[in-house]
Amino acid sequence: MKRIAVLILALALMLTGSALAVYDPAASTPTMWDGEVTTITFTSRLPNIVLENNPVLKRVEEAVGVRLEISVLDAAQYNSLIAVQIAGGDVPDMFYLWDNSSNESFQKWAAEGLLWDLEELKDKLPNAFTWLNETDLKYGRVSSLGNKLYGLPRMQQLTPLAIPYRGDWLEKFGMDVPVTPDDLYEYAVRVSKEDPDGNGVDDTWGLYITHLGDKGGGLLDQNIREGFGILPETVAYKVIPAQEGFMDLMDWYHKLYADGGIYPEFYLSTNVYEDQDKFKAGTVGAAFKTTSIDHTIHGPSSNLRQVDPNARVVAGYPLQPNGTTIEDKDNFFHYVTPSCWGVFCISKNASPEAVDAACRFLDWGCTDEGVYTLNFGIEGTSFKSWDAATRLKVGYTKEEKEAVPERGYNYISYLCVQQSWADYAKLTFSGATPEEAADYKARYDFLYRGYINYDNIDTYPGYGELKIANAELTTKLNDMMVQYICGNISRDEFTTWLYGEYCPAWESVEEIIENVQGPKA
Amino acid sequence: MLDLRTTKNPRGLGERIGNALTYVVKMRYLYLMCIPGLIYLFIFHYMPMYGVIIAFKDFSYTKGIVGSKWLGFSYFARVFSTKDFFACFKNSIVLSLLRLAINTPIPILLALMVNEIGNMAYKRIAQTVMYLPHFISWVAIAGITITFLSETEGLVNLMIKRATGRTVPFLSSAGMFRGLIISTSIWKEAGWGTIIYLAALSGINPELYEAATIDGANRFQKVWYISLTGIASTISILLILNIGSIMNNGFEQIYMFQNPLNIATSEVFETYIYKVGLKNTEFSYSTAVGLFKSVVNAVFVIIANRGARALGQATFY
Amino acid sequence: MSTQTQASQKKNPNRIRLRADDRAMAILCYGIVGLFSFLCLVPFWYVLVYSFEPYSLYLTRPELPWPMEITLDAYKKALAYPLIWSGYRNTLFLATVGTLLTMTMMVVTAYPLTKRNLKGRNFILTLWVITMFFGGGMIPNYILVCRTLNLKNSLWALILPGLCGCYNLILMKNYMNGLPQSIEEAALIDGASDVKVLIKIVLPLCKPILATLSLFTIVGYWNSYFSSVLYTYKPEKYPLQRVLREFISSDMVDELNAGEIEAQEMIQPFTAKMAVIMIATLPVMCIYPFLQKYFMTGLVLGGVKE
Repeated sequence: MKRIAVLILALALMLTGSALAVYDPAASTPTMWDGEVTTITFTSRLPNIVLENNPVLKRVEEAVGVRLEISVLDAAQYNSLIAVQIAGGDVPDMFYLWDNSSNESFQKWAAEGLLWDLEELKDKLPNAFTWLNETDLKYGRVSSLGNKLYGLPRMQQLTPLAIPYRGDWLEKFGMDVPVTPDDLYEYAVRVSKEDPDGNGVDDTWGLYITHLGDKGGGLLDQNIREGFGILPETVAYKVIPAQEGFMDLMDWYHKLYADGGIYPEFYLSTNVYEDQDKFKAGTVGAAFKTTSIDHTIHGPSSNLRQVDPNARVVAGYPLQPNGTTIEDKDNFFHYVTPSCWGVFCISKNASPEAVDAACRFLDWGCTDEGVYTLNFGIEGTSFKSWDAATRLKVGYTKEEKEAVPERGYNYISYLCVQQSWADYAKLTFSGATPEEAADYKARYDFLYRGYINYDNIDTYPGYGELKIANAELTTKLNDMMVQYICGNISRDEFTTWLYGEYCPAWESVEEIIENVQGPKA
Repeated sequence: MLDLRTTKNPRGLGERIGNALTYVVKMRYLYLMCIPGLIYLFIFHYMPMYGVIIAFKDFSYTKGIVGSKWLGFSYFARVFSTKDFFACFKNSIVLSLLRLAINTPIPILLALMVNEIGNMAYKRIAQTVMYLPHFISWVAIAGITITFLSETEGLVNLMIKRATGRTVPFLSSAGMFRGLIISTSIWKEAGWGTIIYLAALSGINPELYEAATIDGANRFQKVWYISLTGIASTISILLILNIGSIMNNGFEQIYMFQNPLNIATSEVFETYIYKVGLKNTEFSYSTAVGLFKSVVNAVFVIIANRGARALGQATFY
Repeated sequence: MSTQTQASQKKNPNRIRLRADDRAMAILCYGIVGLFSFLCLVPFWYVLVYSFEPYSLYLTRPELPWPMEITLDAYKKALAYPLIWSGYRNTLFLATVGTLLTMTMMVVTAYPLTKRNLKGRNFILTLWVITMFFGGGMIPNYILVCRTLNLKNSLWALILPGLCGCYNLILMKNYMNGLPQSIEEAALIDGASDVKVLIKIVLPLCKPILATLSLFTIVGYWNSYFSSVLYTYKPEKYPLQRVLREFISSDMVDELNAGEIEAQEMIQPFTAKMAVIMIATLPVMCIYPFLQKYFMTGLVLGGVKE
């Protein structure tokens, strides 16, 4: 029953996706505002672009009559800085927070009445409430305040996941794209031992996994862990390290490391995208921190062929449990949840005109036209032309870039509520061959059929506090995992700590989940 | 320096005030010179000082700093009660003391040596080259160091392997971590550190050297008795100043070289707080941590100042 | 100046002994300084080399001390960045105006503090020293600068709060303390005012420390980053380091929060970072040679014997 509902949902998503994808700016009349222009202050986390005389901002003024006085805060420390500003009494009319509603400051602002309850402004935001469904809106709701909606989430609906492999090496080994952990194990060991780049030097390894980032970074990457039967927290009613498959995963890494399949010094990474770098350098056979079409095709391919002209990139699937084959279409599954990259808030202290203006702007950002303009820019100015059929922006190739004054997509996308449509349309790339792109799309479409949605536990009441209380355990887990994988500590030491200290601290997660979903089915 | 324009001994209150006023008038220029600094101090340092109390309050956005609820020492309790706190505190102190002990003499020696070089061209070029690493960020220097010292692909280990058949775990050994940090910080900062000493050296009276030559001193004696003594006050002051930042370990550098395999020695106070919670915007907590660091630094400076005075060296006061 | 003077070379009859220890000193000094300088050249050299290499070459052959392929891509990209010119302009303003103001403030403040028996001097000095350790923190400073003083988004917000640092002040005070008192005494007895003594007598003797602290101050303003993060919010007002830092993106960005596409675009390859380091710091690295001569002059005592 659940599986059918999910398939229908996936189908619906796909249909909306394709319906949206045929937005053709030439075919529709642009929105024009004919009233007075209101100026509002807006703080956001923009990349460094020139704001003066910006054509897109001008277009915004034309379309919805809103002049945005934008303050840009430092990207890396954005959340701290906006908190300082607000603490200092400077609350902008509208602002963006680079986090979802589980953020402590956000909850405090909401509790102290600094933010508008957006459901009270529902009639001013028709498109937004159509676009964002209930799952999305959860990211803007604060459960401790009666689930009121204090921020409009900026969502990335479709998170296609894939593992890029070296297609030329797979061919050399006579292997298919790995589907299960056993397949991947074999591939990794063979890459390490059989010198696939044929240069006579022992300089290739199967995998490179960064340990950086939240939740163990690459080590607990969803692409890999699902192959061990590890489910999302809200599905398993347990945190990941407490689930059965966790030690299987750790042992798998440990053995693979001992067999030389993992780059020996993976723990030295200082940059979360280092696995991609190593992939681009032709050093490793697969990369993990690539979570969208664009990365997979755009990132690894483009530089890789400068290093090895024979290189071919092939997209693989998130690992499936051992025993599954590609023909088992019904057993082929992957858990996805929409990601929230931030929320847009409106200040309670803003004047009524400002509130109106803010709503108009945010709402426009949920229309096709708004998404297109804010994410890509203006045709002719930001890029040469747009081909609605293939969703390709013409003029994005490296050579033609000289003729184009601004960079293409992600123009001021931080201003845009709706990111996902633009993602789906971002099949633009430089460096990938048409075959690679087609191959990727085919696998992507195949995998899409087996997507299962789940709730992100971050939005559940009580989880935020638990996370903070267990902060040290989380950093220690990261260290312990790496130490076990590299063989610096014994399995006993690891499991003793894991089951003796780490897991008990997270036991209340079950209750937290039950409070929202009811008891485990 | 003493100013010889002293005052007479005061008697009654009226006379005292009278004397005070005469004194101020006599020294008026000196007092006038203090004024801009005092205005600056007041506006930019003392006016915001009330923010220190955030460390003791549960910060509220609407009520501001003054209106927020008092929580007393609870934030400090939280800092101290974290389990691994003392281990990383110990790492911080050990690293700081080592750094102090080793990094202090090196710029001094280098400055003395540069001072002894006769060839102007060599001197100028050496000086210019020596301070270049100071301008390069830790991200770059760490990146380069890691590339070269890596056991898998690093040039240094490649050569060692060819010679001895084994590799040296510079980057993953907890035992080598401190050495790694200290040597890279010398590499980066020692050259820049010579500048202040060279400035002090250029202020030494050349006649002293001539007199020493006549007395039959050799080069080494001259350096020891004249050059070194001449910059003794600078050395003393700088030492005290550096002790005043004993709790600041150089976050960026440590974060770059830290990894799960050397974490036993590489987790210091600053990185620990960063990883465990300070990324959040809990103002009270972060202010409490900052306050703790400041107090420790201040205590060390007072001790160092006293020590310097006892040894007859230059002090702050 | 070195301990070996011309006089000693001619006058001393024990020439052989001097030559031996002169030679020993020379070997020691030239040798060690040379070695250390060479080591210091290495990171700079590699940064330079990497900045001209294509990223793929850096990934595969990072140990090359010479770029086998040269590409100006990184530089072109960085210099094509429109904000870089406003960044330079802003930083130049800070470095010139800021340094001038800071040095003036420092000289004027340090001099009275050298007089140990000036009444109230200890109190004032304590006020300064406290600021080295304790401060209000980000929020009160933000309120002060951006609201009370209304300096939000102004370059003055990047100069005034850090106008006079206690660290440098103490260094200056210490140097002034080391000057021989007798000249000052002589001038005061002759009836000169304190201001005249400061300007005509003390300052000329302070050339080395003035050069040093000017250098430190210029470098400090040149590297100005965090205050602009706190106080400025329009990209046209960013100083150079801020512009470039955002251009190359921090490695410590929490990737869970980073919008994947944006982050990938923002994190430039390592070689671009190297080009940025060159662009950002080369100008200020070149200041030192101009100041070097102030480190060579000795004291001119003008006829007062110790």
